[in-house]
Amino acid sequence: MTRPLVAGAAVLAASLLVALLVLPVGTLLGATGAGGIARALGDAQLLAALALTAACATAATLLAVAGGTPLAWLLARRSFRGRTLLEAALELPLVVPHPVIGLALLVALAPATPLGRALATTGLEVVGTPLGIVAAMVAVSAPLYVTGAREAIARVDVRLEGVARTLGDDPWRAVRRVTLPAARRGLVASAVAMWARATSEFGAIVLVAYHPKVASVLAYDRFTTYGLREALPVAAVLVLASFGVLVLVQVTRAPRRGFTP
Amino acid sequence: MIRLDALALDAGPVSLRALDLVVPTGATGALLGPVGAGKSSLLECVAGVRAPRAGRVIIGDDDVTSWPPERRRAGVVFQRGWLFEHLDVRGNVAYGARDAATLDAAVRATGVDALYPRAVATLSGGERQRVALARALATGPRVLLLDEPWAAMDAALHAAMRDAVRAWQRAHGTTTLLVTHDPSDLGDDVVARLELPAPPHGAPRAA
Repeated sequence: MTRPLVAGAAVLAASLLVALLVLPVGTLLGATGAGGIARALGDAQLLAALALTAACATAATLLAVAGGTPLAWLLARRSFRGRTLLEAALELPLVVPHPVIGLALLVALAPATPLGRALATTGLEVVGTPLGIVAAMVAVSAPLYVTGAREAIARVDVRLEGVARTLGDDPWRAVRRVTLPAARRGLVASAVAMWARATSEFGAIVLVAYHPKVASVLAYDRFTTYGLREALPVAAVLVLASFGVLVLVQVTRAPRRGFTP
Repeated sequence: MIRLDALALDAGPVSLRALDLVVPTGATGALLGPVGAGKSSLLECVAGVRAPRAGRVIIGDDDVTSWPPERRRAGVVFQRGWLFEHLDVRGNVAYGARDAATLDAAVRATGVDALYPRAVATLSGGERQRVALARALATGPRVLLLDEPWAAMDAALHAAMRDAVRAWQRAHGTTTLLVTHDPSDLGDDVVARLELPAPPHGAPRAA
């Protein structure tokens, strides 16, 4: 008698969760309507913001992959003193409010700081530039890539690297030819997830680089300047663009067919 | 030649020491012992993927004890084959091939081209071992280290692959070290044996 009750409660809870996730977004899209979405797609400022968002997220992801993949291998394969602290530090941006990350970046990279001055001597400015947007995206979203890549690499049996070495590979060639290709699906899925997260970042970016506006900052700007009605079309386009990316993430995460002993 | 000089190693709960063995060039030696005795771990020491606690490993005229695996030119067939799942059969066999001629010879010796271009995931256990053997031979090794290479094969394939290894040894003078439980593998060509003692608390339980 209790089993149907438990199953029914589980179904009800799951339905409420789905409703909580889907209804607000669905309502937003419905309130905007096809006409509003079509008009938004002709909004030059919105299109520019979308392009800037995509370009900065791509640059941030490439930086994270370049630096994060060796780091993920180290965390997956090696034990060393301070590893726990390093992992905690890497995952900190996932739990700290993102405006706090933005403040930290301002403190570290503003023109008045030593690092900011050093960057300025090379002609690079961070605050209020696309470089600042990329820095904020990396700071907030790179932990997603590193933790995902670490798990993907850890799932590749380390003994396969030993096998590759008996076949003539030095250690790094074994990693490059065996471990990374074997972990490829997980690495790609982690990179896509990071890219998706970077495109939606707001809290750190709004402090580091309000201008030029990425899509999330534009939506906020339209709301605070013109009100809900003007912000809805921007929000609807962002929802649809994000949904498309998430479908891609799910496709890259899909398990392979067949059984691998 | 393969020579073990007072080799000592730790293999999980088992601690082995004072292991001595000499397998002349071109001949076959056998590692024997019950399950959990450390035979595979000992083979890994000779291959260089596991470090011994003490003693020496000599291959040919070289003390390879401190050499990394990629320098030793030991062709290894591990107990589970350990094929690369992201490559097909052809890619696995060719992975560390010394040159086109050696690759071709290894393919002919094992008949593994019958399995091209299948994905590794579709292979049976015996087929995986066959591919692993071809992959090891394709490197043109100076020694062959075989960890129960025929365990997953049927009788016909077992006999064919055993004969293929013997023919390869005759043609190339390759010294072989074999881990086996099968008495039929201990023929007249096995000139040296090292029997490892039973682990202190009996065979490990199956998982």
